[in-house]
Amino acid sequence: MRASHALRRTAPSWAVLALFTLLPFHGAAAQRSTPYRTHAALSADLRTLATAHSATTQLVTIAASPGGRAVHALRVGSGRDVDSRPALLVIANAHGPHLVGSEIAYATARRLLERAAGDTAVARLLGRTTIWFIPRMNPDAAEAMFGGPAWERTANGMSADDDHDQATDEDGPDDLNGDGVITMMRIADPNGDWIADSADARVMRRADLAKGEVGRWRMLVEGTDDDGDDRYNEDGPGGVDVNRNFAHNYTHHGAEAGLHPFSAPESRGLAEFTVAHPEIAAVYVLGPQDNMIRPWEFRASTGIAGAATGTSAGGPLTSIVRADEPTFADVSRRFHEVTGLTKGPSAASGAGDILSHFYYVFGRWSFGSRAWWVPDPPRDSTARAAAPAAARATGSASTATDAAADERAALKWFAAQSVDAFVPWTTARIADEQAEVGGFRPGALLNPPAGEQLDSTLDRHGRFITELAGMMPHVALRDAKVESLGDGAWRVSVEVANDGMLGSTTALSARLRTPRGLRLELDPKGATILSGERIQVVNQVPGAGRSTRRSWTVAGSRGTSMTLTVDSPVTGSASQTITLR
Amino acid sequence: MRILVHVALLAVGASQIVGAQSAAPLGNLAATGSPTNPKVMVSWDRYYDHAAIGEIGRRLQAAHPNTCRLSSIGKSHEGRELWLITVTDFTKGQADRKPAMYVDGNIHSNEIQGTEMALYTAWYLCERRGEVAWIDSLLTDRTLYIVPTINPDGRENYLKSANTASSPRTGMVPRDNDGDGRVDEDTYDDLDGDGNVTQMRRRNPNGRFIESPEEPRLLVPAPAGTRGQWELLGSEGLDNDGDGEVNEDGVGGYDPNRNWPWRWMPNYVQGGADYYPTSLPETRAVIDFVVAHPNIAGAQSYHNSGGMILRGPGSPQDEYRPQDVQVFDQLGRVGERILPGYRYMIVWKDLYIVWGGELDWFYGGRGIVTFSNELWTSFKFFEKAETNTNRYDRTDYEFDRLLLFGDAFVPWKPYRHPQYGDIEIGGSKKSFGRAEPGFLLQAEAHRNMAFTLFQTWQMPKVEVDSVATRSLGNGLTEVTAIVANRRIVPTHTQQDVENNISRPDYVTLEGATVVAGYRVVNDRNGQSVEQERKPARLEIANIPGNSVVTVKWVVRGSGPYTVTVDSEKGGRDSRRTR
Repeated sequence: MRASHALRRTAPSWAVLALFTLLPFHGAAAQRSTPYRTHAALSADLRTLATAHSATTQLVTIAASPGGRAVHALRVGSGRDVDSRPALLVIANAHGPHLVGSEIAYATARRLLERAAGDTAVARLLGRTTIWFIPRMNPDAAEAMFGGPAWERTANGMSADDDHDQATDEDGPDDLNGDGVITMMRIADPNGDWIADSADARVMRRADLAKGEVGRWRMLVEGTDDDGDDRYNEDGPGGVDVNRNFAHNYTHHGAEAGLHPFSAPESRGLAEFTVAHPEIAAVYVLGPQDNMIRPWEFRASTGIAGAATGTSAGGPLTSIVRADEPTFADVSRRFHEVTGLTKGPSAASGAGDILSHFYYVFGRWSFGSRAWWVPDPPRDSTARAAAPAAARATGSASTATDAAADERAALKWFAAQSVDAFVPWTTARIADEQAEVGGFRPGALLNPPAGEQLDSTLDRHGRFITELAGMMPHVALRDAKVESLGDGAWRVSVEVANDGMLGSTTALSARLRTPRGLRLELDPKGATILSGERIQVVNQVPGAGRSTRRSWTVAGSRGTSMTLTVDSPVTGSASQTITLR
Repeated sequence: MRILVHVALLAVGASQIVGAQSAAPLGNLAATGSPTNPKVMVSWDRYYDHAAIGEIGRRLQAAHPNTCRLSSIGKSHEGRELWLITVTDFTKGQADRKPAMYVDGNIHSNEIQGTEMALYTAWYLCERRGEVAWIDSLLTDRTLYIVPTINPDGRENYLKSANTASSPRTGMVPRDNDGDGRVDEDTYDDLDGDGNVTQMRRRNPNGRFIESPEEPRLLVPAPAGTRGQWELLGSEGLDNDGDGEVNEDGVGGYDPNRNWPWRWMPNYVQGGADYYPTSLPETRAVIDFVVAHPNIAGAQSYHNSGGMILRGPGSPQDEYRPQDVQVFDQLGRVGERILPGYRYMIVWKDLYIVWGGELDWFYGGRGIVTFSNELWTSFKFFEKAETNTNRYDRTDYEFDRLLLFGDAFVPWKPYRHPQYGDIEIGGSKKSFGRAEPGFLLQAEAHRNMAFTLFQTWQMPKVEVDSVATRSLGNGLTEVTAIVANRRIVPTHTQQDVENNISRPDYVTLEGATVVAGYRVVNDRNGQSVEQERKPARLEIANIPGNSVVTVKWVVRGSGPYTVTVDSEKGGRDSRRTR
């Protein structure tokens, strides 16, 4: 019931959406051999876009990656209050191989900017809401998808001694079969855990020992033991996975987690950007972690020694707070409606990931989607596809069995689409081992192939981002009342309301104290406040037109005018003149 | 409080100790344990400002160029240098390759005297090198990295602005404490202009307080069943921003010791955490320095107050490994002996829970044996443990009357307050209660330094104890070496070993072709584990404290052989056979 109420109040952007579907989408990109942009191409296209729409954009650099690549942020919006009204931040590609997010961010920005000239609904949206786009959060890792050879790299260019042997980056993957891509490698080994799946021998799965199966292969990422330590690919290029370098549920001393949260310039740059932009009310994160197919839920649980989670004694929160649950459910339903995506793989678990961080630490409304997956998977379990290839090789037997079914289905789907997504297993020469190289091409399970799949993905998420931009909180003052108490005394009251769909902040942010609440100030001018504070802080006003009433007693002569103002960075501001009569 | 900041009293040369008029040195006999003829004179009965800290560092460097060097590890938010005084015997070895002790102070702005403890340590070592064999030995193979204040902005505010003994705790990066969109807009006000923020009280027939019959300066609760005469209105201040609250948004607004990236938690778990771990420039400067100096094996971060020798963990989510607890315990117990009135305690169990504290990052993140001493304790009033002050205890007043002659308190005096009307202002000065009174400061500095030097001595020191050879025939020789660490602290804490933080210790054989190399795991029966890869350089995960590790090689060649042990935190030693 609440949800439909909310939706009714925030409908106007549908008009915008209808127009979007008619647009050709990625234009120049379609002419390239890959539909995805390198860092250089993306940077150039962003600059072109910013130049072409200089009145409605600002392009800034929020960080330089250790590999020397700029992390860009593009502001889209018009009007003098563009930096002081609620903003949506779209972040893509913290997980390096996830290129489709970058395309969604870029294409959506471009589409909004190009439509704004001739379309009043789009122009109105951009005049009311600011949208920041960070299309490529982990440019060093992403670049590995473009060859030399191409592989699913997750770490940025900060050299690290992953295996603690006093050498950095000395044993990464190698393209053994010279096909220009790093896939998987299976090595015949009686101690191995893996067998070829009986239904499709291309698919590897863990032997089920309970059923009497016996492992025959070891599974590794394609490569040699470059440094002669009997381990394969254990110290590859780079150091920190940006999507593991944020503070919530951070893994200390974890693989590719960095020296500490925010040790990577990319994550720290984003943190400083966010601190400098308190007006960011919500984020949409394109990456492995999803809470749109299945919204985050409140789960009651206890923390350390039975104390409540989210307290000093009990330690970190392990789920969202109860009061925020309805909003996540509402936005998820809206996502289902707008994108048509209602089923999909479950979210990859995160540790130090960007999506959780924005809710649990930065207190923002945080929504995330994987953007694309092989359509209609037989089951809700292909989250592992988003994990790095190396991590995929270490799942349990039961998840591996499910995964095998998903991979069979994916192979069928790719075959039906005539997409070459799989490198057949072929013998490879490494030392004295009997090895074969093959498997899914880098990113095949993350990024849609060019054509209808990519076009519809850009379109769906472009529409959802537009929709989300229309849900930003927006404060209003309503229903001001002045009652005479006689003898020059008056009771003044007003409703502080939020006309956006989203609450002014999350319920959690009241405990975080960021973003701050609403500042409400009554300037009595010629009158005198007898009771009630001149300046008050209203912690949170839920969305969908709900409000909270505040009142004062003042003394003043009839006809005296006073000014009431309310503001917060995430809601914008409102003011009203109140006259005693 | 500018009286406290007597930079002018700093003087180079013994001739200026007393009586500036006379240039002639005053005849004296140095007391036991004191420098015989110090080249740099520093009065250890006062608290130094930022300029003075740099000046003391410069003077020490000029007077003792082979013992002391001044540099900076970075800049504070307001642009002050984070001074680093490196102390070692610069004529022997490389400072950054010797096992090192890191010392800082003053992370909380009002907890000032850690700076003097740190400065005193640098001064004392400089002035005593060449006079005391133990100190010469210490500085030959150890380095001390001393950062007197890692929060110079907050220190400057504490010293030079009106404050209480507890303000500011935060650093000076402006924050919106009361959530009204303005930063630092309603801080304390020194209403009577005396440089202190004291208390405000108002006569009120319904007040809960009376003047203590024994100590009229002190307000105590009226006995049950009787009426009080006074109400307490908090620290001196006004409602500067018109929101009805007094002093609710002072400078800063975070806790610099909750901003560290080990088990950092947001505000709802840990108040004062600030926006994200390492959001403060001072935090980042220390982290960068420590990461760049893997030779740091021990650390001390001075706080006040309470008389504690604290170790982590700060949060109940961590538990130190038994091997490490044993090391901390051995050091901590000696600390209790060196520091009468101090107790060796665990932060979360014995004090309170801290997420994202500095000492936790040092140990959790870098595996460094780290203590935080909470300086000054009411034990010092009359050197009795039972003088346990609470809010209404009179011991501090008695101490003030008998030993400070009333200098610690501002007498109550009337004031016309714009919000509260007729009130009185008075109470404890900021320099009393948490910081040492002048005559006790040097003693406190010396004892705390002594504990730090004990820890510095007990940091790992690796040596090649012996090398033995035995012919195996066919031109092969077995070379057996014993490497030792005869100090308390291991070359790697267990936290370090389990998380692969520092590299292993290397035991290298040169002078022959190594056929195979082994770590001997049982000396008595010779059981050993082979290292197949690069056997000439054996990798030893840890050389525990007060222990030896035996290694052996099978080599081709007649020698002589050189065995070297090389440890990031334990130093380096070689021995050559004849």
